[in-house]
Amino acid sequence: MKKLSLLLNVVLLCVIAYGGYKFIIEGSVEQADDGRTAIMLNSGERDLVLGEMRTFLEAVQGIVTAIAEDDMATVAELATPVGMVATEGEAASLMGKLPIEFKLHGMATHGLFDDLAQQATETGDSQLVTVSLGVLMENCTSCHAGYRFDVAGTGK
Amino acid sequence: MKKISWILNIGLLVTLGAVLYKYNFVKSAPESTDMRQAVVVSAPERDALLEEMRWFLETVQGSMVALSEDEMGTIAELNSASGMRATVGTPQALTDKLPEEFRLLGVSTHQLFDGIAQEATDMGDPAVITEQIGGLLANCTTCHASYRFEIEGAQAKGVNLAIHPVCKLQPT
Repeated sequence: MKKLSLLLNVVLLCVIAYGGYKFIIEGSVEQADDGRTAIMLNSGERDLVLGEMRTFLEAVQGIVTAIAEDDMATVAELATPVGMVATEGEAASLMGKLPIEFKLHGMATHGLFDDLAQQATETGDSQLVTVSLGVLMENCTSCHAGYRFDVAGTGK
Repeated sequence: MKKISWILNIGLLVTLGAVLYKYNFVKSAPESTDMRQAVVVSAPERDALLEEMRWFLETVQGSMVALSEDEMGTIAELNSASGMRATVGTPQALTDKLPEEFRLLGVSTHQLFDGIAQEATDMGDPAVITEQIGGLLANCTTCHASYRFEIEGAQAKGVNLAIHPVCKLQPT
């Protein structure tokens, strides 16, 4: 009985460690034929992530237009909702499918939007905000160059 | 020792159960509700179109960096490469599959890149260029809000996109 209990300890620890690795580190990924890493999601999850990226794009568009008008209040107003506040309430099942690098990249991007909002509010310097936006957009280009979203079982 | 081991087992089982519950049942993403118009293309065509869009993104990103460094030469170079000359050699088979509004939006976007390149070369006014980039990005947001790509059938064959000009371009 004692042996059984210890064996069960080991098995459960292994299962939890493997689950933790899959959930936190590896995610649900495959090598795509275009050279990028495909993150395998269901269609609802894919829609959710693509929708979030469109929100990023809309925020960037509005921010660039606001920079052109030297309207730093609008820059801050547009950057804040896509900052860290936007990460609240993300589905656990979705987070578990994202590889750690992607998760870190996403968090960094949300953080950079917050920094941008703060910079616009505190300095009001459109030149500095332009520099920061260029840096933030490097996250967008590197992420798009490295990852794509595929719907599991459909080949797209 | 035996007692501790069984307590640990119970703790581990509870942990495992909690993780499985959270993973499977808590706040799962909803079913697909994407109401955007599907543009049906082959897999290689979709890859080429997505690559073109990534190139657009890199052009805009590079332009923002160049703008902050007052590098008008770089802005002209980047935007010129994404201008109308990038459309040369686009396979007719692909063009025929694109909805008219999508095509017009695409051509307009390429022309706006040319306009930015022109402004960078002629006057080099950062304020005007920023405004132009904002206008160009409005095309991006409109297109992304309206359209999505869908693969026709299984893996399509027969369209050679190796000559697609965008695929040959590299950032400078």
